[in-house]
Amino acid sequence: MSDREGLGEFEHIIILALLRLGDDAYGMRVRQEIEQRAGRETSIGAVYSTLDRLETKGLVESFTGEATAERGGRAKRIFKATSKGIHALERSQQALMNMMEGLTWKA
Amino acid sequence: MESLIHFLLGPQLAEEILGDLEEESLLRGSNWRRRQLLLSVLPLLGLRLRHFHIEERILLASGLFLLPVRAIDLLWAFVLSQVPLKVDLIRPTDHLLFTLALALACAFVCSLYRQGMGIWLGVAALIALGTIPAQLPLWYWLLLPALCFAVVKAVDSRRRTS
Repeated sequence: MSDREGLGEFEHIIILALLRLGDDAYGMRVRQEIEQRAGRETSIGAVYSTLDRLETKGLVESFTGEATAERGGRAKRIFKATSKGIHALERSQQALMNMMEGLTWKA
Repeated sequence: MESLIHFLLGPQLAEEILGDLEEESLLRGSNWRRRQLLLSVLPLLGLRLRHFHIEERILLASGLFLLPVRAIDLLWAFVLSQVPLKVDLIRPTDHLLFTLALALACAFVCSLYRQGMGIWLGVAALIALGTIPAQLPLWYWLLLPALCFAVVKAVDSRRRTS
C-alpha cells in the first residue's frame, strides 16, 4: 500500500475495533465490537477477509492465541494494528476531518 | 458448510474461524451460526482467491470463460443436429483453442500486476467476448456482456466499499 492510499470504510472501522480491543482482538470480538458500536451487522467471513487484506498491506499483524473449551478446543487468531496501520488510520481520519471542516448540511 | 470452509481456507484458519463461531453460538444459538456460515462463504472465497497461486488463477480464469463458451458450443451442435441438411455444417472449433490461449495470457499478465480481481476478470471477459464464433444466437451476445459487467461491478464495488 502506498503511503498516500486511504483506507476503505470497513478497513477504517476494523482498525479502530482492534485498537479498542487491545490484546483481546480476535475475530469474534472484532465482529461483536463492530456490531455493538457501529450498529453494523457483519459476518465473521467479512471480518476475516478484511483483516487478511489489511495484513497483506502490512497494516495489521496476527499471531495464534490460546485454545479454550468454549471454542471446542480451537485456537484463536489475535490481531494487532501495526504502526503503519495506525499511521494509515490517522491519515484517513484527518482526511475526513478536513473534508468536514466548516461544512453544514440538512438531513 | 464447515467442510467447504475447511476446503477453502485450510485447516488452521478454518479452525480459528469455526472456533469463533462456536464461541459466539453458545450465546446466539445454532440458527445464528448457520446464517453466519452462509453469509461468510463469499467473503472467505474472496480471501482464498487473493491467495491463489498463479497456476490456480490461470485455471480459474480459463474455467470461468471457457466453460460457458464450451457449453454454448455443445448446445449449438445439438441444435444443428436437429435441423435437416445442417447436421454436417462445419462450426468453428478453433475459437476454443484461441480463447484458451488468450485467457491464459490475460490471467498471467493480470496476476503479475496484482491489480485486483475486477481488472483481470474484466479483461478476460472482453477476450472471451472477442473470440465468440459468429453463429452464436443473439441472446448470448446480450447475456454474456451483461453477466461479465455484473461480475466486474460486484467485485469492484465490494473491493471499494470495504
